[in-house]
Amino acid sequence: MNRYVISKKKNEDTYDIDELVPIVAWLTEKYTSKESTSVSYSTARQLMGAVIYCIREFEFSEGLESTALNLGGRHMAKDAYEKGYELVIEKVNQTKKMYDTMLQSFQAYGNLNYYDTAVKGIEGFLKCYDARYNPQNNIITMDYPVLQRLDQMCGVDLINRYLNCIRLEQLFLSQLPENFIRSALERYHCDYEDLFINICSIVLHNVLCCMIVEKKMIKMKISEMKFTQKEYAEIKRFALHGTVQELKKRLLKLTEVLVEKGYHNSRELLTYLQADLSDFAVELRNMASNNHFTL
Amino acid sequence: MINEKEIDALLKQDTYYLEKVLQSNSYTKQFGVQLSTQEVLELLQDRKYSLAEQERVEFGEGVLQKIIFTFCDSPYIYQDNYVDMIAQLQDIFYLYKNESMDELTDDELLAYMKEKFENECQGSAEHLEDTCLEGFARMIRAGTCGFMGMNHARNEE
Repeated sequence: MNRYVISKKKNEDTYDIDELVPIVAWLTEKYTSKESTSVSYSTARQLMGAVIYCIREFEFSEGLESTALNLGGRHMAKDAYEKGYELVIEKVNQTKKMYDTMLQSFQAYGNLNYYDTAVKGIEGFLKCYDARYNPQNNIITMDYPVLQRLDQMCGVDLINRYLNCIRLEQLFLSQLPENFIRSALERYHCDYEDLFINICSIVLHNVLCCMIVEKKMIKMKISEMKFTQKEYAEIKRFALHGTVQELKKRLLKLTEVLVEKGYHNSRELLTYLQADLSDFAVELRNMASNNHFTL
Repeated sequence: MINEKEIDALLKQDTYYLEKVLQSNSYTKQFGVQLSTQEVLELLQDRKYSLAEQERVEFGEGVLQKIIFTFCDSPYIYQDNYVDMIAQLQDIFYLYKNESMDELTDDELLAYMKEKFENECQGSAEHLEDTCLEGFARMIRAGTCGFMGMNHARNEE
């Protein structure tokens, strides 16, 4: 018999197809408003996906601790589905709130893709998301690249995490002078406004390099923002010292100091920024080796 | 003709459907048409093939009984062609649910099929499938909703 593995936490946490089909049948009835007795395979697949998504949502968020629905160590599929659906709705509302809060102070620094994705894209998602019949569909393509990998997720889970990444980036950027950010972006590429790039990553690299050469970012004149040859030499020394792994560790130390001093030691932000450090360590080492800095 | 093994398998799965469809005999006999258990099983088997061919899944009571109630009073249907005709109409129904991109409800599609079957097609299921419904489905896909719900009632006036 086919069994759908919903969770891998316990061996018994699998559901027979026999338990899921009645839920899909009930959902189909709702979907067609009882006006069609049959649906196409693709619709049935979509509705089965919706049921599995909600059950998964329930199991992952509750950690299988809820006792009211627990029958011999295992939840009834229908109850798990209903609870999961409520959690999906809750998550949509939470995402909406996060979006509204973020929007109040959102800055794209002129990058069109950042603005289109974060402002228009998320809004489009919130307008079109169908928690009942297609919760696994995240609708938008999320063209703005964030630093965290979100491969395994879909639906509102994915959008919620994606939006959280953007929120953290905004938190990071908001503490820095706007002209410093724009200058860093312009030095990266004169057409940065049209590129599909991560703003936070470019700015973080510049901030870390400023910390390496102990350059103050506040109240800096535009002419002073570009690194001097002397400063480049210092960065080069820093980058070529030790292995790449050691360089990454030193960059992490600097990031920790930055987060501690400028962002109330936010662990969430540190974890997010940390995701960029492996790439940056290699990039910085290459720039130093080739004596060609793009900062 | 289906074999005994298939009948056993069908009986196990479809007892509920079988009873439901057989109950329709009490209504259809006034029009001179009835189905035997064997014939209903054949229709149910046909339904399975048809659903698989059209890549559709059916839940609940199914549409067979609705087809029977819609077409049993047709002057073009009589005892000799009853089973074949219902089977054909069932195939056509699932085909055009797909072709109309599920934009039509069961009742709307059946009402259209009945209307054309009685008038333009004069009882020809082939004409209904190849000509009337073909054009109709094309209109539906193009976005026309003249036959659907409220629009239909308005058009009739």
